[in-house]
Amino acid sequence: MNIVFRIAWKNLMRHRGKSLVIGSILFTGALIMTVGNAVISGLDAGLAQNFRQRMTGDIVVISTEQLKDNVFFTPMGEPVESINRLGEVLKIVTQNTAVRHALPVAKGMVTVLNEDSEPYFQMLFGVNFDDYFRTFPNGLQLVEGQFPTGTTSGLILSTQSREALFKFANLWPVPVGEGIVTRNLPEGTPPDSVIRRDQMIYMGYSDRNTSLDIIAQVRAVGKYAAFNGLWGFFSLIDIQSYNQCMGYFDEKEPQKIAEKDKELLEHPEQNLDDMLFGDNNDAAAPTQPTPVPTITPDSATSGYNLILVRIDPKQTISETLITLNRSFKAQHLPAKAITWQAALGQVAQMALLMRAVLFGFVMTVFIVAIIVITNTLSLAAMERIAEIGMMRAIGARRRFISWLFIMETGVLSIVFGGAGIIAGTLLVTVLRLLHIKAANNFVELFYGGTTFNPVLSLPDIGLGVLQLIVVTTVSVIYPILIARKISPMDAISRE
Amino acid sequence: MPIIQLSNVTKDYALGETLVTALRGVDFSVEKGEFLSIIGPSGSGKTTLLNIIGCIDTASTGSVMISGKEITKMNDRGRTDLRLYKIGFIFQTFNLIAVLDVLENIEFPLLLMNKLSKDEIRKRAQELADAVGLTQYTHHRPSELSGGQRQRVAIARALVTHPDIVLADEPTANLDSQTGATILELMQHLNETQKTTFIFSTHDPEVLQYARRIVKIKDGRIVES
Repeated sequence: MNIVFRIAWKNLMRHRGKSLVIGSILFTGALIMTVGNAVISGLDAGLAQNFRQRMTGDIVVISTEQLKDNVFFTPMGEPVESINRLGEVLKIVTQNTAVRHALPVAKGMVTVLNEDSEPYFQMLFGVNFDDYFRTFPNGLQLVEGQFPTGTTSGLILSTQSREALFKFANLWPVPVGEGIVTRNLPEGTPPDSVIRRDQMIYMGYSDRNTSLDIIAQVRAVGKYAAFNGLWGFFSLIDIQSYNQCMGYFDEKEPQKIAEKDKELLEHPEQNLDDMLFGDNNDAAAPTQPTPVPTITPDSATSGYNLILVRIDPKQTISETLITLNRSFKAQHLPAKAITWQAALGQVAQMALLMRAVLFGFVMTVFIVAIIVITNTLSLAAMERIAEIGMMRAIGARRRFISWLFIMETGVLSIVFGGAGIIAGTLLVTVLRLLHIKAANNFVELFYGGTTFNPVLSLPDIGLGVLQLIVVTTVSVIYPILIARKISPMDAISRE
Repeated sequence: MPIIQLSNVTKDYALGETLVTALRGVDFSVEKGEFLSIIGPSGSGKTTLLNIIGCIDTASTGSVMISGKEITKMNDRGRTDLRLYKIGFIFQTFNLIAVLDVLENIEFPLLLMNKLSKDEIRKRAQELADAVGLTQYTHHRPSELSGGQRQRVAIARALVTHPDIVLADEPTANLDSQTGATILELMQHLNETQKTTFIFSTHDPEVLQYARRIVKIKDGRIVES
């Protein structure tokens, strides 16, 4: 082995030009692969941190009646089926040892009613605020007002939703009792040019129930820590208001029906024509928004259509999914657990596509490096027929020739490829320090968050080393086959 | 038992679409310890014959026995090992490893064998370098040597393993008469002391004086043995 290394090393020194060409390819390939791996890991880590830890959870439980798994960004705000027997479903979820948090969410679309403009649509998450902040403590950043807690009713409006309302109807919602914060207005907008609102009138948009109008007081304006441009379509509302708006009531609700409505209900014999078309027709009079009823915690549950589940980081999503679905099935519960990616639908697919593109790029570099190195080494083998043939004539076995090529390529790989990995690691560190901001939603998906944050962990470096070994090994196979075929006679006939 | 035994050996080469016959039924045997010269005009088949005996080339037909082993039935590895352990080959051209210095080139077959210690290898290589008059050039690369000096390195390399058979194709062609004589005397010494069999092809009448047996070859046939 010593003589192989000696000859290999001296050959590399003698053919410095060729060594540098192959070395440069290995260096560049290793550098790009290292950075590429870091970007892919950064994307994965970013998606995990921003979506899983701040928005969707790891697992989403939905109704078995829900045909499409894509429940967050449903086309045209298509309603998501409610989860029946929610209490039992929740019990199964929370009793699973892998589950850390389970947040029931009612997702739906509402119409924003405004006397000065056309109706406007908005997406809402009906939640228990305490549960929400327990599950996603870093999901929302406070911009104005104060996040509601406990049984406080009202709305946490996302900045994205507020800006959309401003563009559509010149409305500028602010938290109750607070003025317009000038710095938060779109650039160049005078505060007196916008219509200030501290409450929103919503009408539920439901294909199942009779929806009602409600007044929701704005408690806070918040910005999602990441993907605000995407997730900002959703504002948070307390679940009781949500249920009222969407027409969901439980057995405790009838006691809150307005007295005049009770009168109507209690006089079935009264002539309906008189009621509806008579001169003193109260029913035909313009209705005022229904006030939000007194909140009874967890009294209204029928609007819930999602349970966002966060699991112990040491547990795997796939295994937890299996156990949850097995339990649902065993208890004949109309619920199923799906991955956060499945729940995100096209958004997750887009992220997956980004990952695939990145991976494809790394693989392209990988393959190009193999082709170029193979070509260069093959030419080198052809140029060394006399030398190799002579070694074989003296008594060098084919294995010796193979080792010679492996050693030469190996030395180049270790020196230049190693340098490429080190340079890639340094470049990743520099890129992280630059805190490059995502210019739009698309780039944000590519970055896996608001800033470009490539991550290079030890396994990533290990992957880089493995890729380098594969490139080196694959590249050297064909040249070795050529070299092994060189016979002593080839050398003599060359002379 | 002859150390080399060739029976009805033929060798054909394809030269484009033409088949060139280099050896036409050669029967030839060599006893251990012979000091033999093959002579013949250019293109008569001398080099082909040496290449077949040296396991560098294979016969088209016929039988070739080296040290009692039929080499035409051997696989590549068997022939390679035979070249390493039993045969020393001095090529017409120098065929040295360009990146190694003189001593390393001489050591090369011993390093392939991997049977002696590093010191023994170095000692044996140094002795042969001295014997062929290259004491002062042991750390020179082949490119820094003259043609004659390179040939002497090739000779030393062929002898360093103490092979049973040394084959030499025009061994003194690039040497001055004095160096050529020194080399031949060294070969003769090894032949006498170690019973090494020497077979060399040559045109040089000076070299022929050393040969104890002369084999004449013409048009691929042995005409005198």
